[in-house]
Amino acid sequence: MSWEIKRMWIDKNLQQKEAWKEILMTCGIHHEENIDYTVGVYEEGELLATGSLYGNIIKCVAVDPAYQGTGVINSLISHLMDTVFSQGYQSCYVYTKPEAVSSFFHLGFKEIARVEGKLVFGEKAINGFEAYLKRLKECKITGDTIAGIVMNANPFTKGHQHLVETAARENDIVHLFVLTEDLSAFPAAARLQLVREGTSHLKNVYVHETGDYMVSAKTFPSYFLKEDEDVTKVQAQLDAVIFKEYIAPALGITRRYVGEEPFSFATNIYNKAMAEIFQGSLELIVIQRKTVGEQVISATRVRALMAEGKIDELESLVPEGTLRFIKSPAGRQIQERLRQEGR
Amino acid sequence: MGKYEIKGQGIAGTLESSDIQIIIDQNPGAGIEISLKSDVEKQYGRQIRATIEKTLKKMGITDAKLIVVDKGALDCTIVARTIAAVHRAAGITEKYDWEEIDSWNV
Repeated sequence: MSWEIKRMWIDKNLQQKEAWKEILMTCGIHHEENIDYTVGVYEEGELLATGSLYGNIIKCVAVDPAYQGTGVINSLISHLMDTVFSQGYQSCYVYTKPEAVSSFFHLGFKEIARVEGKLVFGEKAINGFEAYLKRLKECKITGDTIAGIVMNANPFTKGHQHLVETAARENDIVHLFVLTEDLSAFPAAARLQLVREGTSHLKNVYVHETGDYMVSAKTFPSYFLKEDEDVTKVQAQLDAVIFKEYIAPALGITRRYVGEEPFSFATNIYNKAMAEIFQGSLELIVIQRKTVGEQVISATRVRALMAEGKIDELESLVPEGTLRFIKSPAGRQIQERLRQEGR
Repeated sequence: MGKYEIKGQGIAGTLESSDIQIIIDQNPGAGIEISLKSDVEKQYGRQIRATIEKTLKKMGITDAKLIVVDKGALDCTIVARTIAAVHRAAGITEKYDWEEIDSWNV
């Protein structure tokens, strides 16, 4: 065994980028943009394998077919995992093709969920998905009708509030999940806080964090799906499977509430894929969006108005707590950032 | 409280042949819990577990959760990786007490 692991600078070194793309291609994988660390395994200058990280997610793993089964992958994954854990993460994730999953099981990864024939989502963690579900189960409250809602709330609007209020009225218990991932304009802690404030008048609503188990488009990888495969659809299917098989049973949820999105193609695909997976076990209830004047209320519109500095127009769109936050120093920083991005 | 208090997650070892990768974390009041994956689990699983447990006991650790992936490590490797993982989980990065570790003679 004489190979060595070296950092690859795919965003700076064109030659390395070409070599990287080529080895990915031989394994039927496309290259991806959302990556912050890439290494190659080399033997006498020849690239045998590659792997990348995005936060604590292992991505774009490819091993030259001639070197599969030689232990190259063990060195590679060891290195990537060490890098993840030494950054202070408590867990390490991987998305992979079903036919490649056994090599990850061999390295101690456990399957969280899969979309048949498409992909497997796995993790390595001491207190991982099982521990998350155990904590959720402790929050279980009995009731005849128990509903679930998942939202990013970036930020929490009167539209979100309307959705939660409707569910709260129609059910004994509502479990409301807010995405934990810190990749939105509003930081995760603020989003969670504003959701809590904006629903505090509803006594049968319980707010939870999603942990790492409900993913956003940003972390969801698309590189090993076929070119014509709809990424949004597969992501929705994975989310729906995790919700149906684990989250809903943990809390006794039988209905999921979502907002209708007449103008967003992506959300439509999402809702449709979810309905298909849920069929026969969970009820999907689509609530019509709340409108002000002619327009539906959406977080996208709120952020656009913030970027344009039209804060006085927000009053009809967001609850009091959210408005107060937007006007606070932390909120003004977000306004400034949105304004710069908008340029 | 013993000398080694597990404060967070610690990792040691690799997934390469003849090595063992050990990740350790807290497990308050729930004893030693080892989840082991090994190609030779049938033949040596019990021995690997016993070696880890013995080492933890010498270090005064009674509660810990571990995930272990063995790739055919020898006992001395298992002991070394366990000791390193505990030190890292305890936040000790220097001043290993080699005299004491030597005296265990495990």
